[in-house]
Amino acid sequence: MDDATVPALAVEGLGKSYAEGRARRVVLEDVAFKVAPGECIALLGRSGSGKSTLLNLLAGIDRPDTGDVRIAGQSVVTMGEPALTLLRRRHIGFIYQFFNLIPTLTVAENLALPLELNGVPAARRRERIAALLGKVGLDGREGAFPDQLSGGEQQRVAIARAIIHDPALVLADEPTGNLDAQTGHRVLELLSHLFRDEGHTLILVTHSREVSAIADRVFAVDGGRLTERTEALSW
Amino acid sequence: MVSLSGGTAALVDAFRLPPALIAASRRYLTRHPWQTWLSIIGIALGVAVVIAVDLANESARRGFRLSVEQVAGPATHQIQAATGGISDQTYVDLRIEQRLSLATPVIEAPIRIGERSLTLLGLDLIAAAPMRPGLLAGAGGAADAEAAAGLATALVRLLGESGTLVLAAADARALGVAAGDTVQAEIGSGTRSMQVAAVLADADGRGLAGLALADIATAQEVTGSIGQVERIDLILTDTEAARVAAALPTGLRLQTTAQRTNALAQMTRAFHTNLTAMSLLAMLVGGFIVYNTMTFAVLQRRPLLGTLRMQGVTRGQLFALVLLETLLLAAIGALLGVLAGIAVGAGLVQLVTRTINDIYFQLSVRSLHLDWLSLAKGVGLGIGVTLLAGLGPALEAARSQPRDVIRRTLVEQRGQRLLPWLAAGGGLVIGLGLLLIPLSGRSMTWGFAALFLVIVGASLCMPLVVRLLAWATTPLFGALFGSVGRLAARGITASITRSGLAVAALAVAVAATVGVGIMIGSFRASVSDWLAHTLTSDIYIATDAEGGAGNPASLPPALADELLALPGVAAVSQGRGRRVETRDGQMTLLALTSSTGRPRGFRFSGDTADDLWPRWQAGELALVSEPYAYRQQKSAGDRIELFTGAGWRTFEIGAVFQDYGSDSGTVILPKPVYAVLWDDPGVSSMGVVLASDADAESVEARVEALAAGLSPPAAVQTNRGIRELSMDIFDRTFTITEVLRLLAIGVAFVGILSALMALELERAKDYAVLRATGMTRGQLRLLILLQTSLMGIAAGLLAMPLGVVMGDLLIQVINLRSFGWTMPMQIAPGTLVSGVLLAWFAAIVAGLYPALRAARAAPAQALREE
Repeated sequence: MDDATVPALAVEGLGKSYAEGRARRVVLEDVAFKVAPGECIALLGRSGSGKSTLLNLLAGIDRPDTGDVRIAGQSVVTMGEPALTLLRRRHIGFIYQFFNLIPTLTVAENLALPLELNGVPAARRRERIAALLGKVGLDGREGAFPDQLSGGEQQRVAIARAIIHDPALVLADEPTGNLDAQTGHRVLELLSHLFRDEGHTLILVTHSREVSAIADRVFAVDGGRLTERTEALSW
Repeated sequence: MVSLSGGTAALVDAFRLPPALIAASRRYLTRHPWQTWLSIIGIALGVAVVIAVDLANESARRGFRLSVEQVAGPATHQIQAATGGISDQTYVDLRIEQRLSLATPVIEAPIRIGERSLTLLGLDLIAAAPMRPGLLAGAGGAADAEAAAGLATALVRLLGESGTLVLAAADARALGVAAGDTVQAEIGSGTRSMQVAAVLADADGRGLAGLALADIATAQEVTGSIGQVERIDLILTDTEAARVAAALPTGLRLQTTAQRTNALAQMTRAFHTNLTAMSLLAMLVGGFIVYNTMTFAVLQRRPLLGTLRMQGVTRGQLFALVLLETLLLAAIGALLGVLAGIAVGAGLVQLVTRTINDIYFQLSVRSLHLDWLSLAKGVGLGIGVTLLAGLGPALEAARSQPRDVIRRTLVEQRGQRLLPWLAAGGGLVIGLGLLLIPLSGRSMTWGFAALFLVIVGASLCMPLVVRLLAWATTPLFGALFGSVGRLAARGITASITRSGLAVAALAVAVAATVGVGIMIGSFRASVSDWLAHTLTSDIYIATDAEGGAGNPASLPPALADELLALPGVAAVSQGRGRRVETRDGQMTLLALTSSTGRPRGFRFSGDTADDLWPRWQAGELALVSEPYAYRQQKSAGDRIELFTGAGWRTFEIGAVFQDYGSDSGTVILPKPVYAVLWDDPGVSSMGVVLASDADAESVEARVEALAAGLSPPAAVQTNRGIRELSMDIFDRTFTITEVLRLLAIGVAFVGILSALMALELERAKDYAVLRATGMTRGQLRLLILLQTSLMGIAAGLLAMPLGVVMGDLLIQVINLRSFGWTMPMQIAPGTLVSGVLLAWFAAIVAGLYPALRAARAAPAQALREE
């Protein structure tokens, strides 16, 4: 299959429910959408709306009750654990609300880890780290440990880490949720420009309209269902 | 884009660790130095105890082996007499009739010169020369012509001059004597002057270290065994041995040198095994520490491991990472353990030697022998146990789910759900251990395996019990200390996967203390009771002097009548003790007689023969001790064969009596029967029974006056004096057990400190929230100390039943299988209470630093740190 014609992400009939005592609570029901390569999608919803569950299903870290998730044409749902690990290693990048940098690794080492896991040679690793640090505005902070960085700086490292191995899909869970408004705004700008420049596909989970504004398309998650918002969005 | 179809195949390198992962791991360890070092110390202490005990055991065994080899030389066989001595004439006859060219008569006796204990070895130097060419041929063994001439001169002097001996250079240097000097030698109960004929240079005298070599005639003279030799050493082929054995006169017996050495080595086997088991217990507790530390390290990093899994780190890589960390700790711990083990071993070897001297035989071990195998065993065991302990945490790390990064409480929830299963598994393991006891027959090793299974099983049950205990005491703590009390109790439940482990480690160590305490207490009470029952006389007179040719000296036969004639004396008993050969190895023979006609002071176990005493007096029956009966599976009605002066004689066992005096077994015969069969009318001890109206002090004074003029000299001891002395020796033999017990507690203390430090570190954020919401430093300190107190008390309470079970197993299984002793379990309330207090104290002390640290921490900083 030609990469150019295959959606970066295709979701069909996705459903997920949890047991609550004897009853079952439906979290997601018949969710379906497609994301083209290089597209930015925002999943907008209130707390408890099921958007984080959807993100987990997309990443293959949780199993759906029904439906299918295909990343670059490969079904995530039928994959075994080793294949899922390899999928995440090679084709997915994550950005978390609480950054989740490895506290015992320096900035450069945090960035090097995905490349090392993918067997990228040292020289290419160094080039790529230097280039990305420049893009996220952290030149000269290679040797700093996460606890020596501000929240905004840590999230910028996390963004760089998410795309350093050139993944097919980047999943971001409330990327500005743990930052003050001003810092959050700057991180958002960086995210927007960086992803446009590098051409990555981004799925953004957020409860903030401001954050969702950077997306090409916005889907609202509500009552376990997904609906596309059609009103005009400005960058 | 890379195809995913070959994904599984691509994970072949699943265990390859990228440098960044190793760096993250290394820095985690260095950023938690307390945790890391306490774990290392735990391993090091465990390894140190194992190595120290093994080195001490090996040094003692080596000392024993060397001394046996030195004395026996290259002899393959030995001829010994049932009566202890072989006449010169018998030796000469045998030599001529059996054409024994490689044979020498031997006398071996302890000798003390200055501060040095040596063995006097008397040989027929001419006859022994072909057997020991290196030592005695002069020129053959000497380094140069001058030395050869010196040796030849020494040989001539030894043969020609009475009272001369040869020393090794090392011994001569230590004593500060040279050839030609006169030394005062203590032999038996006397002292006499002897002349050093020669000092063998190191090259020649290495095989002579610890010996004082003399001609047989000199040895006979100084040991008072003129005309008698102790044994004949020979070098024989199998054919020659069969011929000689068939031709030996009645009362003489040929055995291989190895048989004799094995019989002696067998005596201390159980003692060495018990020491090893105690050291393994310390290692087990050390393993707990490692398990605790590594489990905590995994749990603490669970979100981090989840993040790594999100980035594509495989389960195999996480597994390898944790095992690598464990291996690093194990390697450092083992290295430090080797150094500490050598240092502790140097002290321990003295305790081991002293215990062997107290209860088995005379042994001189001058220094710790660095046995590489012992070191390798200790290191291997340390690393093995550590890796085994790290296996669980490594598997736990490998089970990390990427979603753990999001749901931190999941781990604890899963742990909580696992508790009943863990307890059920523990119950199964305990059951398996208890089942193993009857199935394992009399095996000591399997007995210990059963004991360890019970310990491990109990520790698996503990986390659930701790959770129930914390849940049950929450209202009480709430009532006593308000919300701080409730928080303290609930904190244990909330982090049961960590707190449960810490409590289990402490409880096992304290239970070991309680169990060993119960065993020693029961043993001590039984020995004390046995002494009170067995020592039926009021005053004892005994001589421990050598009577020559391996026989003990004898008290004058008329002494019994003189004692009986003293006013206030109701009865006099007489005794003679010696080692005898049986078909089942060597044992102690005690020959008794009493002026009342029947010895007293026996406590029998099992059935006794009909008409016991009359038949015993008639020489039909023998009484045997419990250790012999247990080991040989014999009881009343069975037979025992003894090698007497008249050859092998069979006796029916009349009864089995309780005896804590010797673990190699004792047989008791009536004195007249013994005197005939062993041709030994001597008496080595007499017991004086006072009349009920006698003035004890005045009788004792009279007995002492009678004994004062005796030759060889005899010691007078009161019943009480002997009991006190016996209990002193008992306590001394358990010093080493106490030392090992303390070391095990030391390891456990490090464990609880490590666990508490880790727990407090993890809860730093919770404490910061409490401080931020208005809790004072004092309240926080109280909270932590309450929590550690509760954990300590829980450990102490759990240690009580486990300690009692351990004590029972030590008494009913280990002691019985090791030594053949049975005894009722006696639990002193103080032992149990002190166990609980010890656990509480250890937990409080271990909690002090974390409490102070948590109270000092700035809430803002702790809140900021993820």
